[in-house]
Amino acid sequence: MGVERLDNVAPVIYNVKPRDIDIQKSSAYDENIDDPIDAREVFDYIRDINDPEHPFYDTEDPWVDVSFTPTIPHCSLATLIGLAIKVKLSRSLPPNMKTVVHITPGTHNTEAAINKQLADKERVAAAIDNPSVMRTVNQCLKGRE
Amino acid sequence: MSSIHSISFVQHSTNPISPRVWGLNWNSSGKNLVTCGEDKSVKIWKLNSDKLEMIQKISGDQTRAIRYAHFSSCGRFLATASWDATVIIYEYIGNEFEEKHKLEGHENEVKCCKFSPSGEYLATCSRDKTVWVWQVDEDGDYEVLSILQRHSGDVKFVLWHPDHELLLSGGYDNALRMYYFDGDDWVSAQDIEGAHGSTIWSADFDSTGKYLVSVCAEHVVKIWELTSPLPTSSAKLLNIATYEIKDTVWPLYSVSWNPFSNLIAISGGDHHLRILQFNQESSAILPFLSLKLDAEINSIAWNSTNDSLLAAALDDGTVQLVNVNI
Repeated sequence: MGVERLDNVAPVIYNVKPRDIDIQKSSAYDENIDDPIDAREVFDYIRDINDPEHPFYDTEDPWVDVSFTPTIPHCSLATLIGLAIKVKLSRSLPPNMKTVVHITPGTHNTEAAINKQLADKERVAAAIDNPSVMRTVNQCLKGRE
Repeated sequence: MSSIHSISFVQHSTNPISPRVWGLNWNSSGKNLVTCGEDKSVKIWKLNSDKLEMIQKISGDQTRAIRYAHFSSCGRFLATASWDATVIIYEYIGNEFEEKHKLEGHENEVKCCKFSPSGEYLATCSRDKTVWVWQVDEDGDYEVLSILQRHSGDVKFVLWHPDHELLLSGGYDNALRMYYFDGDDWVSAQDIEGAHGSTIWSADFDSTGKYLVSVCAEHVVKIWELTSPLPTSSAKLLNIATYEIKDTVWPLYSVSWNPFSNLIAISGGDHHLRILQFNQESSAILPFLSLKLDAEINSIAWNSTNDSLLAAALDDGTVQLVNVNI
């Protein structure tokens, strides 16, 4: 897109209000509390849409960094838990946002090996592509009744 | 004035759930490109001035993602490596590629497949930690010649030397391994444990075969000199230059050495396509040009006959053509 064809060469940029986290806390997951869709909620859904003429770029794309602590240092399911976190984040975040999931330093005997596997895009993609692994992951992500 | 810019793109995949393009490769005339990906399809494109036109789509033959596809140097055959543990050989008959053989034997995901320059061999590698060398007889039939089990992790790529009968592999165990043919079997010529500090995703020879470049997950580029390649049993790789991409934290997934010059293209998780220059006299790697594309770049390849044209395979389903003006 050439600069000479822009409809608005110098758009006014407004400050962005912080997301209202409190709104979600108490009522969002309680089905006994009436939670009508309000203007704020609608705004929250659409606030991140980019102006195609002026996409708002950071110099380095933002990414999400999550560390998790296994219950015991020899937990054999740590890789699966890490994968479940990665899958949940990829389903929740915008498609271009990268995630790094790793073990809290010093909390697992084989943390380097697990971190390496979770950082390997091909291994993660192959695991997600595997129906029996995904059945287990989806079970993990169902949450408690 | 040197410059780098995108000239056109095509959509390999329009599947919103699994758009990722994993691999691509030009044939030796530089007129055709093959792309493959998560959508389990292979597409063959014709280069028409600076645009790609699709001439064939292959799908339904392999049941999981197709990780890599490679044209034989004569251009008549195409091999495709899939996570369904198979490799399919296609032959160009009439005016399209038809399935000729399905090679089975790997235990799980096949990650790369390459015909040797002579066309006599095909090398494949897998998450099962093995490298297989298949021999192709006069009738075009495939027989397993050697199963190499030296890696301790999944093998990300195989690579043939352009002139000598030497095969290379690298991967998850941070090692580079080189093999030669002893008359009966492919056997080890050299194991470089800890060749990089992290997973080695890709490597490429320069056109003379004197130098090799390798890239890894910790965004380090290394140049190796091939010493005493004849007899092939004495061939050794010697690390002569190392360069770290400092302004990124993401892995480097692909490297391609320009067939006509000392320019090296690298790409990876930070969406950047970078062109580096290798100076032989001083054994130095210098940054030259850089271009940011829209998504992670899984595979790049310089065109075989046009020294300023590059193709890149992206996570967003697109295949980009990039012009590099020197």
